[in-house]
Amino acid sequence: MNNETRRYHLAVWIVIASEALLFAGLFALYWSYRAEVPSLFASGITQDVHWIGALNTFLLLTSSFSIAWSILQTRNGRRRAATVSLVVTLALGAAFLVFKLLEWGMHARDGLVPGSSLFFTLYYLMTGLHALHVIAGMTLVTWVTLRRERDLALPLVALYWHFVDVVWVFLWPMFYLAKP
Amino acid sequence: MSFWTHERGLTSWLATRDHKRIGILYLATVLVFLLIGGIFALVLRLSLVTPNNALVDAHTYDKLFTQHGIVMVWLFMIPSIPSAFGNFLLPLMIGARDVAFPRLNLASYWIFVTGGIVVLVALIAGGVDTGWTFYTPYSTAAPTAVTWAVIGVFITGISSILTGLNFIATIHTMRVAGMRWRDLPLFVWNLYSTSIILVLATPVLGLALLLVGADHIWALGLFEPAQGGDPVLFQHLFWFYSHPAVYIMILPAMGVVAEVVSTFSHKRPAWYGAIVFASIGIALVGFLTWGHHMFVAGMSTFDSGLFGVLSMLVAIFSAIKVFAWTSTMYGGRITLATPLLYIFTFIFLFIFGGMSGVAVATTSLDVHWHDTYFIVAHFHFIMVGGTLTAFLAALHYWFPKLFGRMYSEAWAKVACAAVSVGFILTFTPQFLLGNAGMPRRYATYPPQYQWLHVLSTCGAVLLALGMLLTAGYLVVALVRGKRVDNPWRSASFEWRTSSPPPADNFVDAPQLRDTYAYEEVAS
Ligand SMILES: [Cu+2]
Repeated sequence: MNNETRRYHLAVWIVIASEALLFAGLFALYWSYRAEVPSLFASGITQDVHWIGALNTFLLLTSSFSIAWSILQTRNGRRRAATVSLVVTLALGAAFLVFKLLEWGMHARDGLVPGSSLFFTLYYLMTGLHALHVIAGMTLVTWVTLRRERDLALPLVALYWHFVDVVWVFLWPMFYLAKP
Repeated sequence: MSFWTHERGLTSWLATRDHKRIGILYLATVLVFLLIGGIFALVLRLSLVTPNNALVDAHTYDKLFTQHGIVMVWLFMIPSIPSAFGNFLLPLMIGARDVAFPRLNLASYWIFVTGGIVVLVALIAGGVDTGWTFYTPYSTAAPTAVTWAVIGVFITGISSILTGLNFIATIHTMRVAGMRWRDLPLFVWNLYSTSIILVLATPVLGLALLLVGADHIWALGLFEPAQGGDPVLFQHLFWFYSHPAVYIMILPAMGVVAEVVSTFSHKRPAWYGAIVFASIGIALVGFLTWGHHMFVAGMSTFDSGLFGVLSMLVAIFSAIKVFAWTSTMYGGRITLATPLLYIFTFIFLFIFGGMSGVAVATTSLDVHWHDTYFIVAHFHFIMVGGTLTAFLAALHYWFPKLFGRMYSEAWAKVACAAVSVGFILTFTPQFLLGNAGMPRRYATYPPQYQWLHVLSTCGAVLLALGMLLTAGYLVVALVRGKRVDNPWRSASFEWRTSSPPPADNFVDAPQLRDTYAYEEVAS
């Protein structure tokens, strides 16, 4: 790795560390409240829309695969295949957001809005912050798709995209699967 | 041709990517904020001369101490040494042309200015009366401009993170060929430690403040007991940042001390490795001590004890540093110039502020002192006194480096005496006030405390006069100061290029190995 590549890699890792601490604050709140009022979290998890949670996990994990595939194609010099793979990534991210919005709407119809209970306040804050990160990630993927030179930028954008996926992998059991 | 005259015109400054110019912009900006925060403090002190609101009513008083805290912590002390002097000096000290990401550096400055303006507008338009700590549940219900203030502080936090990122990347990848980690000047090591905290602690503060803001707007009740929330959890999030923030302020200050002590003793710093170890140690252990702010907020005895012991651990690292600085001076050829005199004040404040810190980390004693003037005096000694004296030492030590001119040493010594005596006189009575039971953040008080309050205010006035005098002779020196290059005969890297440095930092490719080669200079 030359100095410039190292510099950009370091910067992205620092951003990820910083963002991880941002989520860590919310995770700490979640686990503290979960320990204080487990019943609230048990009933909250039953109320979440499980098929959307599972589908969204599938969509994001697949998008991690497709962006990794685009790196491989870029390395092999197949620019067009890489572009297709990036567009697929974007589509999967957009689908994730659509289903997330759908789910929020379903909750809102049932009166489960931010402020209605600690569980749902945390649910909206954490999935909302995560959705903002999906949007940021999609912006970066769009940017790298339109770029001529992808060798340096694409692995870095992919790194960030994987981070956003990993956060979701933690959110999924916390809000849909693991009852206290 | 120096970086001052290399390009001309307003845009050559406002859109500059030169780390030196960005450093100068930061310096000018934080000085403005220091003035604003200082005026708030002076009004507070003057109002406390009599037991019943000599100058301002109780609600204005609440707003003033909040605004004093917010401006001084986030707009002066956090960015002061790292953003102003760190930006200017870091590339010079490692033989680099600039920082790793010059455009990001400029963005970071403008983000900081934006955040500062939002904070100021919030403070002037509505005022905030929560205290700089924004404690819930009051802060989420307060009928003041809390939301705008937390948004402003959040924005300055983004600037902090970007600066920290830039410094870490610069130190890792921009060192001149052949410069190893153990060749780094101590100031650079301290910037590195500070950057780690900036990058890892600031997001948690940003989150905590955003939650307060969101709660204030939408009444989410996340920390509201009536809705099942737990206000102490906010305190945990807040102090997870705000305790390490003390080290964001004091670590760069320690870096300044190490450089100044070495230069004015004309001697290699003693125990280089120990100082580096202590800097990193403080940065890491500093993340594990935040609970000492919550001894009386309902924390278990075991947790309190643990946080107390971990907090005391920091005193060991700090003591290592004090011994290292004093043994650097021992046997050196000491020049008693203003920067070193400020360092003497620093060491005095640091020892007494630090020892009182060990005292308040003792859980049983803290119950007596918690939320009294004792705490106010303690953190002003160590955090404010430490940062301010080191900032002034840095300003005098590197003044010739920045501007290529020399200030009046005679006036500087007078001002240094006024600032040092003024500062100590302001806060020593506050230790006594707190120990006698005077709580902090009260606009009025029983008459038996008056003489100590009057003494404290006298100190504050003397401190203000010293600062005014400093501003005066430094402005004169900017215009009429004698032209100098390396008046301290320092061997450090940043002095090996001309003062002020050329736009490209070095005329010839720099060869930097030993930053403290005083044997050569002496001969
Ligand atoms: Cu603390």
